[in-house]
Amino acid sequence: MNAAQLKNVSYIYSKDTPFEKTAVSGVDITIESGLTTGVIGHTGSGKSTLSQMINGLIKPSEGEVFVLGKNIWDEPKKIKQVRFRVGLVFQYPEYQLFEETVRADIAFGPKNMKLDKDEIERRVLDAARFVGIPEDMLDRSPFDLSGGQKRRVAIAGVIAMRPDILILDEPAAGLDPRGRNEILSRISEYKKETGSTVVMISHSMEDMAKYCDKILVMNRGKAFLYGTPSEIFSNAHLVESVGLGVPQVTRLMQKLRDMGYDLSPSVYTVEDAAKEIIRALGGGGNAS
Amino acid sequence: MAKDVIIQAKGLSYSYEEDGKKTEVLHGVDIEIEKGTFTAVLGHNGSGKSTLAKLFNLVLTPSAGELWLFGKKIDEKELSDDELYEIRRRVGMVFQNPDNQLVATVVEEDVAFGPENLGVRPEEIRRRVDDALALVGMTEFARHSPHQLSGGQKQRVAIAGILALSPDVIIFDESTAMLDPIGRREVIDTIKKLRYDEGKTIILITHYMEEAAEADRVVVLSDGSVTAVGTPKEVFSKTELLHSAGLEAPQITELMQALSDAGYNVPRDILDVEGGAMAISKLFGENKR
Repeated sequence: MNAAQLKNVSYIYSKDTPFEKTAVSGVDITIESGLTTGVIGHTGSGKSTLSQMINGLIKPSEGEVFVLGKNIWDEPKKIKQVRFRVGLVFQYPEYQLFEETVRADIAFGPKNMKLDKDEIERRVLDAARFVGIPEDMLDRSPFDLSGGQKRRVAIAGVIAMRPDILILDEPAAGLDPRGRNEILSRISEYKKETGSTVVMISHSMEDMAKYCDKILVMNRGKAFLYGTPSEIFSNAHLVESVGLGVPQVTRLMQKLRDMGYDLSPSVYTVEDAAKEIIRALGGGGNAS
Repeated sequence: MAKDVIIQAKGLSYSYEEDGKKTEVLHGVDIEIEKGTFTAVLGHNGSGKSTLAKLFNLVLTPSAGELWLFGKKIDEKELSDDELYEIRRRVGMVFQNPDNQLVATVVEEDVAFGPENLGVRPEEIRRRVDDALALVGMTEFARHSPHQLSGGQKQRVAIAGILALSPDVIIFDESTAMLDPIGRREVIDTIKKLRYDEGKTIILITHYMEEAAEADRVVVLSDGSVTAVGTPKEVFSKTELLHSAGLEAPQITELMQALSDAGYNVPRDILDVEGGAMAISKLFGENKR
């Protein structure tokens, strides 16, 4: 089952003006249901524009966008419904908190969906639990929280709308390793528990390798590579050719292969690298 | 020859009170920063890194301990306003968010903002602005509007604005955290140039290990205390200590330690791909025999 499908989609900013700029050009991909898909690329590669087209925030200049089998622009007046089904968490969402309490902030989306009071309350509690915001924090002002907590509240606000597809633009940007792992593993648990489809935009190949089932590499508005992490990283030189980094251990394995050692190219975690090297050395421990 | 220590903290503590509750952010920190060196300060969010930076340029006053700057013990009660501003000029800071640091609508006017406020003569301002923009590689953008620049370019303009004040020390408080990999590289290259070509003393607060790996010394802060000090090699090989401080060692270091733990003869303190490849290729060589 496809969660979303982009058919030959392009987007041109300021069309027919001297500032015309093609942000996305001829992207043709399918986002699979229940998976976490990572989108990586440079600033200006079209990642954010692409995600905004999936939730109907902007309309493609060319091509069609399908969400759960339906062309989202068939009925432009109902585009708001698409935005409830495809939740979009922007970059640095903590700057968008505005309510007096954490509870009210998380409830903002469900309220707009005109749900009844009990359902809203249920969803607020649920969403807060997913992101690890304890109940006693719900009546505090969001502005008294730490940066990492604020970000989690902002994500909860989108999760509370129970979208079929959750899109997060750089959810871990600016966080320390502990905060990064906390947020990303919570998102991955949320996906497992609810079966939602997650699309995650990131600059970090290490995070992509760890948390994504599929990776889309964007370059100059085009879908440059699309596949599982091991497919992507076995093309490490292609990834590097567009100026993106691959994990340090992937580079190490590549280098050892170039030196003539018979090692798998599609290794991207420390554990797998250790296993692969030990295998190639022909042993389990204490080489002799 | 005696070490030329430019910043020294002796038992430096900082606490604040809120609703009658006292919170201590830094507990008795001892640090020596030598002139002309590049020090990286690593630590999780809330470890006290930024507080330390704010103590160093006298934005905050320590609650206990001593702070020595440029060979003088600082007693803020005895500092005149002029002396206080002079120290802040000599210890410049570049912050995290590039959009919050630029005030003017034209790049060169932004860089001129600091020296103008100090009453520097116009021709001298012109010279400083040109020099500063050249140093950070932004000369060709002098007449651009800052909002058209990338994150990395904005940070370089912010750095130029600090350079125009001719500081001795520049503290970068997570100045790369909001940038993409290219922007981060631009800022780190600029930092290295300032350290090696201009003799500036650099303090980089970060949680990116690969940035800290390029420093002369690494200081690890955890819950307000210094838990490790040393060269990147010395500090990064202590993976358990890093984990307990909420940090991660470079992947290669973790890999070497995993192999070493499995009984293979590899050094535990390798940080980069080249070193890792050499060590592993040696393993294969030994294995053939």
